[in-house]
Amino acid sequence: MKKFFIGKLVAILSFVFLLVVAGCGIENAEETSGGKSEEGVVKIGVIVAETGPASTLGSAQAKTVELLQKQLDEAGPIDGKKVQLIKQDYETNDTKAVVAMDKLISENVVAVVGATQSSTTMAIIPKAIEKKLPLLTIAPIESESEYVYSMAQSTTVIAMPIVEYLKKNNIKKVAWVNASDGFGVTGMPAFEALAKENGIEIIAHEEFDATATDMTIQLTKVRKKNPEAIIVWSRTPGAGIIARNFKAMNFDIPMIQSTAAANQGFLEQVKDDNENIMVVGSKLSVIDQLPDSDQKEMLKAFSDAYKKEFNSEPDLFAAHLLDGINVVVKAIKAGNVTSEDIHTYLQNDLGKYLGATGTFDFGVSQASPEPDGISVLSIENNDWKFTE
Amino acid sequence: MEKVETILYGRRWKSFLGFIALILILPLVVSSQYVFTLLILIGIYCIITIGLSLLIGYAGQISIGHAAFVGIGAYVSGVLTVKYSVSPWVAMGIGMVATFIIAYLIGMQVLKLKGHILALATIAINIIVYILLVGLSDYTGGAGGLVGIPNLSLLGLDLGNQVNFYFFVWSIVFVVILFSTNIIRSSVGRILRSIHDSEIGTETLGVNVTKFKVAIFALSAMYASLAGSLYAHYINFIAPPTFYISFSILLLVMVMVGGVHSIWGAIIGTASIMFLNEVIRFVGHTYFNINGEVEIVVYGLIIILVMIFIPKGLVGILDVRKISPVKSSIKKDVTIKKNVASEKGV
Repeated sequence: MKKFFIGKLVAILSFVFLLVVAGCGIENAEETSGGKSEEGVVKIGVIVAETGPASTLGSAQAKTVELLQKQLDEAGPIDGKKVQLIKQDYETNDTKAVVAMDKLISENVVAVVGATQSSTTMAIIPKAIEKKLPLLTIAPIESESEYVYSMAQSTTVIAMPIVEYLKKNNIKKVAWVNASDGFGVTGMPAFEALAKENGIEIIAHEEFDATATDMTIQLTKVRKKNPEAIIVWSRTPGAGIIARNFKAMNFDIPMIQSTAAANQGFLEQVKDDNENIMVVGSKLSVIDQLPDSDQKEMLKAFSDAYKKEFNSEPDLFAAHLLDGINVVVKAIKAGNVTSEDIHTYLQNDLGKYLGATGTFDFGVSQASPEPDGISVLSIENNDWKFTE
Repeated sequence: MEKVETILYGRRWKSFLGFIALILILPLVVSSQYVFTLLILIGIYCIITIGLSLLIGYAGQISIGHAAFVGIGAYVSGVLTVKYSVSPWVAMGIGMVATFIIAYLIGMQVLKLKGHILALATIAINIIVYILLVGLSDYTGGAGGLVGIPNLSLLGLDLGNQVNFYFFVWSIVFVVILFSTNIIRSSVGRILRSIHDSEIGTETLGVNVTKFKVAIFALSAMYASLAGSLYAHYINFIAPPTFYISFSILLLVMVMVGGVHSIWGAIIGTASIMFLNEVIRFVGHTYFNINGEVEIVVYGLIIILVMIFIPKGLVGILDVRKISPVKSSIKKDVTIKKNVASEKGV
């Protein structure tokens, strides 16, 4: 009897210990591999959804991390310090993102860039604030914290080009359709406020499940209200499906989609039947059509490097990530290698920064870049067309 | 003379002692925030899997919808503390009671079903709750999630601190284990087991089978609700996708791998799967340069292998050394021996 229990106890204990040691072993292995030259390495954490449903946005971001690491390695150490990007894939799972955040904190990163989705970003913000770690977010979120720097346009800023477009085309009545996920539900309040100021009325509001495969019902309801334009706030593939339904139902009004639809996947979904479909997209997608400027050169450099490496085009989400890492690298170049110094630098010294997303001015606001990096794009010959 | 209970189930204080020792020793070995988060999550998941183990292993019912109850607990805690400034402890209590009642009402209907149909019905419950969490966005924050859930504090002790929370969670796990083993060792436990083996047989003995099935279903839902509340207060943020069917399935995998017929199996299964997850990711990323959800492939393989070779789960392997006093003192046929062995995990 006793023997049985002792034996069992020992077995259970040793088994669990084995697992724990295995877990710790990983951590130790990582610590020593970086620890050898701990003095000479500055680590930046990146949390992206490389896989899972949000990978339509996250995979370009993950690729950008690879590209940047390569460029950083080629450029050599900054003041004798090697910059190492530590990428964590959170698989579109909030809990995994929180675990990843803890892992990054355990590895003593100086700043974190992430996460791909708004809701996930909200999940990791408390940890960043607690550890006083600069968090450069790459999804549209609202946060009051001084440690949170938004690399993505706030929803209000994204809505600006749409309102501009509506005003220019004298459209007063719009229908609003959004996906019922973390990204989809944030659009309406921001747009509504902005629209009200400009005398634009939302006469219909419909929602669809983010994973739905048909939105004909929502569009049918919208049609009855006779809107002059339909605005859609959804990630792909939902964004593309509703666009296809929209064409199939022979609407003759414009459909304007959010930045989340401004990617190659969406273009492929609406291939060959995309008249009247517009998105708010990054100027990154229409570099060749832009007038010459510093912005154009900077975008072109990034786009060419990305194309050469991965044979595909970068999108707005890749731009957010690029800016996030570049801002931190800039701070490191200015001689700041602790999270505290980087935070102080971003707060006080950075000032204006021209990023791929748009112009940042942390002195004025760290909640969003200016809307100069985005524009309403239409589609022509299955490619984005710049309309200014 | 030994008590009948001890003869039937064996002593349990040594397992408990080992458990407590392990919990106390681990913080001395571990210092990284990352491993602490894993250990805390394991603790939280253990509370759910212990409940599932009672339901699946002892009462013989199945649930692929327990994430729904975790979600209800998490959201009751979250919404009451964030929107109505209720004390977290009161909110947690309300969550547990509410979940118990909801699960009881659902259980009365759903547990009339058996086998695959029951599994499907529990999936449906999960989906319904998920849709409600997304849809009732005025209260739950909808798909964007619920932000700003406060940390717990106990008698002035800040449970936002990881080490404190670690001890707090695991002491709750301990209480849950103690409570659950008491149930199993009582007459209720024996009735549950007999329901597991033959529902009709038990009914013919004059036992109200439905009452016990529903009660244990509601109890395991209450455990899940408790775990959900703890999760909400630890992560400080909740969003509906966390409580989708995929999480229910993960919980089921944990229970199956550990061994459904034992409370300890649930704990071992949970710890194994959580660490395995991290190990696979690390090995996959570092040595094979594979990105993405490699662990899902490995999970599948593990479940197949466990089902084929160790149907009793990891706890089954640890039972190899068994020498049962009942078996040695009384001549019994092989089947009874097996049953005695299965009760040893208690």
